[in-house]
Amino acid sequence: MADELEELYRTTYSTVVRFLYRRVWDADRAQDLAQEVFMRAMAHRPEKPRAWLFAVAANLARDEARAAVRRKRHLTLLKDDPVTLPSIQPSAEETVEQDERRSKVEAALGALTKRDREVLLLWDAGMSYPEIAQQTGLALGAVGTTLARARKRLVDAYDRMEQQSRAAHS
Amino acid sequence: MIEWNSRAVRHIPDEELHAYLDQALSRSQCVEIESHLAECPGCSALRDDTAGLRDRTTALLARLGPGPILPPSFATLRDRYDAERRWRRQWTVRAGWAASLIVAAGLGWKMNQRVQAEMARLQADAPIAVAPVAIRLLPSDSPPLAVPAIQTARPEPNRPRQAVALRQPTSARLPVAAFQVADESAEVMVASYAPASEGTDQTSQEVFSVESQPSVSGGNLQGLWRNVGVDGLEPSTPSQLPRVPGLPVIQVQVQPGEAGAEVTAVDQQLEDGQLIRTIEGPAAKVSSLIANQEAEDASSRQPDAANSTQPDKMTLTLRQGDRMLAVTGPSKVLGSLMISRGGVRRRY
Repeated sequence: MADELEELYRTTYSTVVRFLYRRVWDADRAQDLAQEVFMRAMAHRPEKPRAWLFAVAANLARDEARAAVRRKRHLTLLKDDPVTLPSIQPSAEETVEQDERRSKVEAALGALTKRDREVLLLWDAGMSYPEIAQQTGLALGAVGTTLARARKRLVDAYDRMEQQSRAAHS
Repeated sequence: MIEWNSRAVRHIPDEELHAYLDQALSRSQCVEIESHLAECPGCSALRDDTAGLRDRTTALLARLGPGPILPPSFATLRDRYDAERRWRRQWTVRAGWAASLIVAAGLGWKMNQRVQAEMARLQADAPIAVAPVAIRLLPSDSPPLAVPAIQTARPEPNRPRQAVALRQPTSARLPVAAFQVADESAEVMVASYAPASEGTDQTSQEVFSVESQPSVSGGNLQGLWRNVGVDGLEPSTPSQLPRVPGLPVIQVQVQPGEAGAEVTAVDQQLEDGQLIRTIEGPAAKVSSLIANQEAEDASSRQPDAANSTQPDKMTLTLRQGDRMLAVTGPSKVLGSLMISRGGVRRRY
């Protein structure tokens, strides 16, 4: 079990960190939470460790988001007012462009419903349809429908922000 | 699954294409879809669009990376886990100890409360100052009191007279009535030798009986005693001699001891021939003598004494510091003495 967990840690740690980062938007905090997830796995010894890891990570991210709301230091993802997105002072043109794109993706992801965002991030973390269904409580057949809708809405939201950005610059 | 339109042409729904591209379908489903895609340009174009959307989504999410990730070694993580587990275990033990202490303190406090409550209850059951009780010591049909005039051994006009409050036990099982001297924190006790028995009134419970015929003898005192001459003691007796003033002294005995440790016993006779014995000395010795005297009287008491007409006998003791004054005599006389004169007084 220890060897299996160690192997899982080696192959999945970065994925868990990425999954958490897209929830808490803080790289250091995402790493802390990921390590907490694996330490809980050491104590719990789950039968299906991979699915269990992401379920715990999702719970920790949820708790973290609640705490962040309480501390009022989380990044607010606004749906209807992209103009108020945090502006970044350009230091270099490329960096600025990257940061803008990144902010738009964050905003586009925030524009999704909670369910769509969760399914999309779980899929992006490499979870299978049955694992996503188990964690979210969706029917297995509904995972594809949700994922199709989430992908389309994410891309549409991002493209809309790009157009608004171009219009603002011109 | 694959839809069939009115012309019996099957097309692949959007979510099915997503599941197909995500490799979430069974092999047979994949074969079925791929067969249709090969024949249907519309679905094939939709498949390309879906694949593009899927790739674009992946690319967009890839921008949301946390930057370079440098995971700590698994051994480091395991050490940290072990340290945290040890800390939690220690904390649990300490919390357990703290909880035990709190519980113990709580129990102690609770027990203390109960003990205090019990003591308060016992004190509430203890003798209560009831002045009229003194009257109850006297049978209702008793004749007018022939009480000797009680005077202080050395009158001190400036000193307030001692108030003696009579207390009696509320429980009939306690054959002892307590008298308390108010202003000198000394105690006067009335000891009863008679056991409480049904059918006897309060008076008979608090006194004891002696021989039917009054005796001029106060009984033998334990220990080595020396008789002192009694001639001329009354009324010219030095006032320091412990006694009831006004009564003839018939015997004075002294038990030698060190300075201040000697015991003096003075027997005085009432008009009806009954005896009053006053013993004064160190509290331990006097109380021992009284106890012996009580035991002796109790052993010589007849079984039907409580119902007989024998005169009752009681002992008043006045204790002050390590000195004690004990007056033993007929209960009627001593009881009325307490009422009419306000108490026995002895200057130490």
